[in-house]
Amino acid sequence: MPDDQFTTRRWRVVGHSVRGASHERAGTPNQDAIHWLPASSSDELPLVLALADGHGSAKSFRSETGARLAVETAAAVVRDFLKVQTESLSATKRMAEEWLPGALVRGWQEAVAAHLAAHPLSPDELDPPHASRHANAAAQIDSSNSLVAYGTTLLVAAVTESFILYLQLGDGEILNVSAGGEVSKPLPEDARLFANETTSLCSPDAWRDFRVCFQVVSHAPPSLILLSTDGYPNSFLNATGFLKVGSDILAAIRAGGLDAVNENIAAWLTESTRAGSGDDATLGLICAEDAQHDADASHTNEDTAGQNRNDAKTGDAFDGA
Amino acid sequence: MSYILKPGQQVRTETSGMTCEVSKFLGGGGQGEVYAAVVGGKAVALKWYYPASATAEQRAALETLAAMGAPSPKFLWPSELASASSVSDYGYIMPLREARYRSIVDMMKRRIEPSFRALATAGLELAHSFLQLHARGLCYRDISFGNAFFDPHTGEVLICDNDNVTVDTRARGAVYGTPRFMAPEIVRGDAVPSAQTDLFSLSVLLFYMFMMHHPLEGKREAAIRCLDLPAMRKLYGTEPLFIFDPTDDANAPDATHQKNATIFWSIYPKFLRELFTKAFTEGLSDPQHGRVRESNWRAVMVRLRDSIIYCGHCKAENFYDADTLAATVSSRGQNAGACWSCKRQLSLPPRIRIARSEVMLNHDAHLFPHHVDDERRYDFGQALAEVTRHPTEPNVWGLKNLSRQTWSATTARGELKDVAPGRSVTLARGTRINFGRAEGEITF
Repeated sequence: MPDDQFTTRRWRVVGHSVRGASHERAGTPNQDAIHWLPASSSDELPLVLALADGHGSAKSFRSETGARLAVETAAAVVRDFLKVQTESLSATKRMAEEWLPGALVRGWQEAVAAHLAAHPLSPDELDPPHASRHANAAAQIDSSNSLVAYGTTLLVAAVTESFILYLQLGDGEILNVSAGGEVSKPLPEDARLFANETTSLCSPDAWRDFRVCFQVVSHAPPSLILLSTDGYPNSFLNATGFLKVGSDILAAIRAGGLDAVNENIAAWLTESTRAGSGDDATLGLICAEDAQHDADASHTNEDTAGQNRNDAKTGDAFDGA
Repeated sequence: MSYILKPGQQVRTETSGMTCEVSKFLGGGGQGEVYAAVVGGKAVALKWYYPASATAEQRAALETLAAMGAPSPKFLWPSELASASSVSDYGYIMPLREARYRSIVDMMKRRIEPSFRALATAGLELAHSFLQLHARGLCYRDISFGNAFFDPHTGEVLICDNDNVTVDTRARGAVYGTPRFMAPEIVRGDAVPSAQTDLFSLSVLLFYMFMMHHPLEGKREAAIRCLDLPAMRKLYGTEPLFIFDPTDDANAPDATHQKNATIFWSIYPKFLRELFTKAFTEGLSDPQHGRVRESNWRAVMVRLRDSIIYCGHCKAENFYDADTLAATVSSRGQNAGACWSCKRQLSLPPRIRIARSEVMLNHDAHLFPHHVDDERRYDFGQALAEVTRHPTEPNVWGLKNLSRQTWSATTARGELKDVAPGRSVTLARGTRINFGRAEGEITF
């Protein structure tokens, strides 16, 4: 693979996770998690960003930990995988599609097993004295299916010099935004995700449920990659409203810089969960540095950086629930 | 994400000089992007290479392949090159895959759940197709489940990504694919792709389809944290060990992460398990003589399909395993064993033994020229016989003559009857049917 075919781009990652409004009211923790590698700001590639949305249901009473273990394990497993890929892009694509999902599931299951060994399920967790949150959990969770207590989704994007890799298990959104502001979804829709149903890392044979996309950086790579747990998109009236966030954020980055956008993310998420889904909300952005001052911004209406962004997050796009 | 070509964009086919208009993006791989397109009013597929892959060698290889033509319609073969002044590099035209054909990856992800009959048909068609490819002196080099598609209802297959096919022994260039499907001698660097190494990859592909698992990924793979090149070299090259090796269980399937393989392995009859065992024991250590040939796979896939029986309780497909049943014959006849799905007792349907075949005469069974004419082996085009129910006696079943030739049937009592085209002969123990070129006997 001739390296000189690809222009080395510099990428930056930012992101935040906020506790859902309904979780604040119920006193439950933020069961989303976000993690990226390299942890410090650095130009080093590969860059791996992982988000997870712990189920938070009665059975998944340790999903806060499950989500944290998922993002930490996934970022490390994907980074290690990418660092040793030296063969052709076709070979890497196949390994990413065929082997990596299984390795991610195994890594998470082992991390969960280690956590369980150090912190066995307590009688209170299995049969809580007061709360109804864990109702019937004792009847449903035992040593044979303790993974369920940690159930979570997982979204990963990894950027290398020559390709971008996306992996997703369960709900949430991954968007690409082109230099011209065009928003697209790199992964196919999963017909099994509807209503509040989701595929999960704790499912039997979870590796089969991963969606994987291998995107060669050859022609017109995305300027911005956006990963979000479903608490954020669910705050919008419809899918189109959320898609618009992609182009609006790119416009905002161009108008005020990535740092300024980063400072606002937590506030946007908080606002959206309060007015919208009430669920925990997490947003991670991987931004090409050249996109921040892309001369070819004429495709995007720069006015959207301010006004439309607010419309998208606080205006009529909300369902007001 | 922007793609190399846009809908409506036109390129020109190089041989016929026709306009090819891009309809939509279909998918991207490591070498290029594939689009739906239209040439002369006909829907086709157009693959366009990324700059790094659009080499002069690739162009020359495509020209050779296009000139040779496809070994059979099962191959989505390059028909001609395409280029354009408005865009760099080049592409090629090939037939468009119909939507009914699904990736074997879809089966791994349980987006499709084919019947065992469809699976055996797909295995038969794959073995037959690669036999035709190899018979023309070609080598695929990259057989894996990303390249094979099949109709989950019928088992018909299509083989894609034929642009890496080369003339056998000329394959000195880049090695494509992943070590997972490569013959161990290629992984070790001792050999280059050839028809002989294709045979190993074909065995891996078939194992994957039937067991939903890789034949060398047992405990040793489950213990790997980082699948780097040294790890892959060891697993697939220097120390490959079959997960069901009869003499060494050091790489048996992991009970937690790899239980599918064990479940499926127990469902299949002994003759299929034995062939896989040969492929991944002798076939690992002796590339020249130990590999299972396409013709062996073809024969076993037909036998497998003819062995399917249905559970009378849950209707699940099971297999008649004569080798195993022979050991369980009792005074009351054969014990067909328990259904793998509902665990209840199976009962065997009538069967017919014709020369080398034994076919289960289920309610939906058919006999083909393959079964009754040695000169037409593997001809499954037009059925010559089908199982039918008696119009007035629902408990009586017969075999209907769909051929143009009159059969002669001899009952167990020695009565001789003619069975004219369109007529049926009752399925009764000991009845012998002369089909013209072969004779079969009904057994119960």
